[in-house]
Amino acid sequence: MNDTFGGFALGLISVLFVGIMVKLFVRRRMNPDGREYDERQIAVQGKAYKISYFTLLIALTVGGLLFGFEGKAVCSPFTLVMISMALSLGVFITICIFKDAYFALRPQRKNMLILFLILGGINLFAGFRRLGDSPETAAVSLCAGGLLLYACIIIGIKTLLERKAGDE
Amino acid sequence: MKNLKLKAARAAKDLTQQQLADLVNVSRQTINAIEKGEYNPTIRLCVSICRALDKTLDELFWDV
Repeated sequence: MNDTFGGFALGLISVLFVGIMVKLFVRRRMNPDGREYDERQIAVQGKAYKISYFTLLIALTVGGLLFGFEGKAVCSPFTLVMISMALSLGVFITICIFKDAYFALRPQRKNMLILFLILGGINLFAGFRRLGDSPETAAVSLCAGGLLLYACIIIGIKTLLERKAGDE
Repeated sequence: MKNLKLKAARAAKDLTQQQLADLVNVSRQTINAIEKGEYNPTIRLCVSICRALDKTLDELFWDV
């Protein structure tokens, strides 16, 4: 493992750690009664977790078989894992958004959309810049950016469908 | 099966789906799903809705 990848891995682990801390402490303080999602939303998220878990398994299996049968590797194992995770998260996001289980009870949908667009754009830009030099680190940025922009598209489609249906 | 009794009770109280959702601390989409018959609420949520609309469980959620 070279220094560049080591630094990148440390950054990735730090982001994951901060995300978990935010989930455990900050959001719990903002919702002291624990009711961030209602019962229907929690049930939908449960189904979404199940389907995305199997999506991840299938993607990793297919990717692993490609490595086994291809004489030359299509991509590095790390990139394969990132793509599989992105696919799995994409499935989760799609189910939750279309079944109205993505946003909490007191959502700030517009703010989240803007945040997703900005972060998605930054990640895609950073990913494309690094593509030639360091494809593995670029893969993470591209997957993250692609996912965030995909979430924006799905939210947009869902909003259009809701307006068309003319909910009360 | 659609829950027309719930919809009628909500309309009688002049409440929108969002207002009823706020009263029982769920999302508007959950109230919509219950009225369309796409989601079966737990007994706890049923009781909360009944209290908010001053109705009994039989009146809103029981098919006689």
